[in-house]
Amino acid sequence: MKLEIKDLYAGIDGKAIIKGANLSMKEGEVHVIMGPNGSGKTTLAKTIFGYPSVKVTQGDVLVDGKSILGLTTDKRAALGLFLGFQYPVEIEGVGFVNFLRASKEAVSQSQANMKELMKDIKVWSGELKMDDSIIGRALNKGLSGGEKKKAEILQMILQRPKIAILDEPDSGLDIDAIKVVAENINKAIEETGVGMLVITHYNRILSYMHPQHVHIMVNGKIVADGSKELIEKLEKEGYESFDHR
Amino acid sequence: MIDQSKFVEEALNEYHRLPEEGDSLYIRRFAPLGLDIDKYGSGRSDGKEDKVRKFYEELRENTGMSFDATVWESGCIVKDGNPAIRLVKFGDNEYGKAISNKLFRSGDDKYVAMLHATAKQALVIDIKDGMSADLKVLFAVVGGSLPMQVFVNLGKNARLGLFEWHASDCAKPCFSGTVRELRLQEGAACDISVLHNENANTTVLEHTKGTTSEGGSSTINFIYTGGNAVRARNSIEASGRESMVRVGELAISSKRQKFDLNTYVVNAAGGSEARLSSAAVAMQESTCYLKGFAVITNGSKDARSFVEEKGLLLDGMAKINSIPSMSIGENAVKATHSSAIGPIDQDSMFYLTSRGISAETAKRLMVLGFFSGPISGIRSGLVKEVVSSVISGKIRSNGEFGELPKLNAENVIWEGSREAGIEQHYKYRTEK
Repeated sequence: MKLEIKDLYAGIDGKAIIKGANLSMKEGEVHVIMGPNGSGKTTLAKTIFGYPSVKVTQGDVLVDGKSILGLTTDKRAALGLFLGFQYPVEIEGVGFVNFLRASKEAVSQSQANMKELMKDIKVWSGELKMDDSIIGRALNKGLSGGEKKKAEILQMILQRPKIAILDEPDSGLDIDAIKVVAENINKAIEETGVGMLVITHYNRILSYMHPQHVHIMVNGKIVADGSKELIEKLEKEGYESFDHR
Repeated sequence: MIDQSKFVEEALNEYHRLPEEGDSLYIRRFAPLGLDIDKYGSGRSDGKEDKVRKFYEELRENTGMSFDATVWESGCIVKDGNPAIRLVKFGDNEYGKAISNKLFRSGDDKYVAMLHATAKQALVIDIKDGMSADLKVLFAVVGGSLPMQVFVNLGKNARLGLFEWHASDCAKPCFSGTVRELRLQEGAACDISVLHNENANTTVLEHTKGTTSEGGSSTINFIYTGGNAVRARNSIEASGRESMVRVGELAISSKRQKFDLNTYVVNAAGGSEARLSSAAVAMQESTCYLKGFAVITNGSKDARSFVEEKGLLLDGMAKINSIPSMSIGENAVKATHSSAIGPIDQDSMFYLTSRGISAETAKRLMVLGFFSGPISGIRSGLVKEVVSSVISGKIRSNGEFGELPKLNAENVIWEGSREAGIEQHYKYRTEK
């Protein structure tokens, strides 16, 4: 699978947020988008998934050369895209397991094998060092910030997407949890060949990962592309050196 | 042996004590449902037994549920002569009408008056001291109208699990009406679920009055899904010390359905607890009024009372009105109420659909999730499954109601269930 963002302009309530973003990535690749607060990283992720209040004014988002802008959010996910949320939503009464089951069945278009699903949940929640009480809970209900982030990774692993966009998978996590999350992201990449687009502010999670491509986003635009060395430059000079408004 | 005359008289006297019913503001704002009692039949529907049997068989095949008693307009079948249930026929002496003429005055609630006036039979469930029963009863309106009286008497420390399925198959306007009295003696406990899934020609009238003696516990869940209009007037009282009352109301309205649900939970003794939890989902051009009323009587020290009403609007045309009220006649009590109504959360919808789940399935999941609290309060797994299936079917069919559902409570696990519960749930479903 190839995901392309071409000269994309998008905004919310008439306010332009994405202002000509370009990015291209393939399954199996690991990309990172870094940028200051308010630079449009989360809006970019939401735009790829068709968040209702985000309006695209120009440009395109393509999967394998075909525009996905006309597709509903669920159809975009069914292509093999996954979005790990910065703030996962708590949904009253929707059981976590049932949600996973519905999601698996929707993406695979076949009946889920509950025994296998339960086994996978147990194995991967163990790997993620999660309390398995999540199994009997409503979706994200009562989970700490860190647990919610782990639950997002768990969902990603179980859904087996072709390209996953993880919006700040490290925020709200303590040092040990960041390591656990990063290790499991790496494991998913290794085992399934999923392409990964990680959105983050900080270098810490990247010290456990091996991104091949780093993009800096400032004021709604990708202003710099490079390899991991770009992160070192960013560490030294900060985002200001990339802001050429 | 039940004194029918006394029962009816007491029920009606109690009904008149409910303060809102005669209130002109209430009548102006909420009472009119556009009902015209003159257009309904007399409650006679002879020779319908074959139709009822067919109805029953279809329901059993679809859900795996068998009923201990089946009641229709002019008869009742009790499985294996179950001693806990019997039918009392009033005969043709216009017993009900005489009673109602005596008790009802001009301007009083004519719908309940109609139920009493036209009732020809009463279902009596009588559980002796220390005994227990788990019963399922089908109320089927298959042509005429069904004005029914249900009397439940639980002896000391008796236990009752009761599921009532109210269904109809009327081609012409009819009503499915129930006047129900629950009387629990010391230490008795009941767990009752009442499902209304009548068709669009049916007007549903529901009137329940309950008392719970010392140390007793009444759990009653009303599930309203069918009927062109539902008018409920319920009053459940924690009458004895340390008694407990839990009433759940779950309503899902669609098309042009009008639901008017008025339920009182009453603390009438010290240390008692009364809880009303109402949840409504409305779609299309339907309207739902939730009017929970908590009453704590003078002298009910250390009583605990909770009224919670919440509503979910699935589109811009539907209306839910939530009016929780309290009347507190004692100082040393704990009383809370809450109310919240809103549309489906856009972020929740986005989250679910971002996982590949279609908007329709996401909506269904959220509605079932919204109802998970009241559904969790239903003790029987099979009844949970049936209720979830009826709700799920209503969303899936874009608001159709009154059909006999098949078990299809996909994607439902009730909050709080742990791993064992989940495996058991799926095991059960597989075996089905």
